Amino acid sequence: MQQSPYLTVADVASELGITPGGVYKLIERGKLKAIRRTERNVRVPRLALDAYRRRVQAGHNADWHLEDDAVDLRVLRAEFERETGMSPADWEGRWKDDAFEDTPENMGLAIRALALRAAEASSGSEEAEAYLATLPRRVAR
Amino acid sequence: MAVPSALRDRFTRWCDELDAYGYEFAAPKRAARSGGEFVIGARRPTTYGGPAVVIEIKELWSPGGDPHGLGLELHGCFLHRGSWHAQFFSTGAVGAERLDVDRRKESALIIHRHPLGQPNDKRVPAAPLASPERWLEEVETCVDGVY
Repeated sequence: MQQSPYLTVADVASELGITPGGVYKLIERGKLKAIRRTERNVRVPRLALDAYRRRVQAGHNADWHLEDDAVDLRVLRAEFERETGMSPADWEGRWKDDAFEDTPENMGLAIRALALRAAEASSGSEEAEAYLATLPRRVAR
Repeated sequence: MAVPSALRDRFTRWCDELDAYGYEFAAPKRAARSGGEFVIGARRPTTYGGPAVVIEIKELWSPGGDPHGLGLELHGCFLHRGSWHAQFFSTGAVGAERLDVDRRKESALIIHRHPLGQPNDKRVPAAPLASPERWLEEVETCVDGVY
């Protein structure tokens, strides 16, 4: 029989050998993930309990390494242009004019276009000034 | 104004949160393009049943304070553009829960969600969900709802 995907706080307390109050503390501190179905109905995903146990056994959180893909900007730009049929600047302009549907794919391209322009700007290319001029400025609230 | 620091800390925060929910990382998981962008791919295991939710986090951070005063700031940089996408079913937009940071929109909709079960052109203000912790809790609540 498949195990229930969500556990009550009492279930978790029993599995971890701690009090329900201890479970709530873990949840409040963000150490154990849970959802609140109603104000008094908290459920812990069994996957989250497994993850918590894994972390406790390891004695620390995992180390995450952010590494740049270090691909030549010209290659990335060519890749973008091949995919979209236009330059990042042109794509960005049309995106701002609402010329494209608001799909996840287009949102991803909008992020790539802006990132490419930022990378080109920081590399000192002639695109820099044009890009920097498009950065949003702080507005008064 | 340290984009690399903002990217590193933000990336770590997302990875920690996804890991705490038991997600498995998948390609892509990288800092891409050197321009302040990172992408993280992750998948919810089906060990205990439920949908195999596929998550893709894309964010772009730029130097400076948040130009719209939304508080999406870190290390002197702001979240310029973001898309947090959770695909529940292979039914396109209606099978996904998505939160976007899109500064083209009017102020109430700069942070908006495309709710699960709705088409792409449905946008709901979502400022309270604009943190990895709150959004992943929302995704998990959706998972609970479709079990």
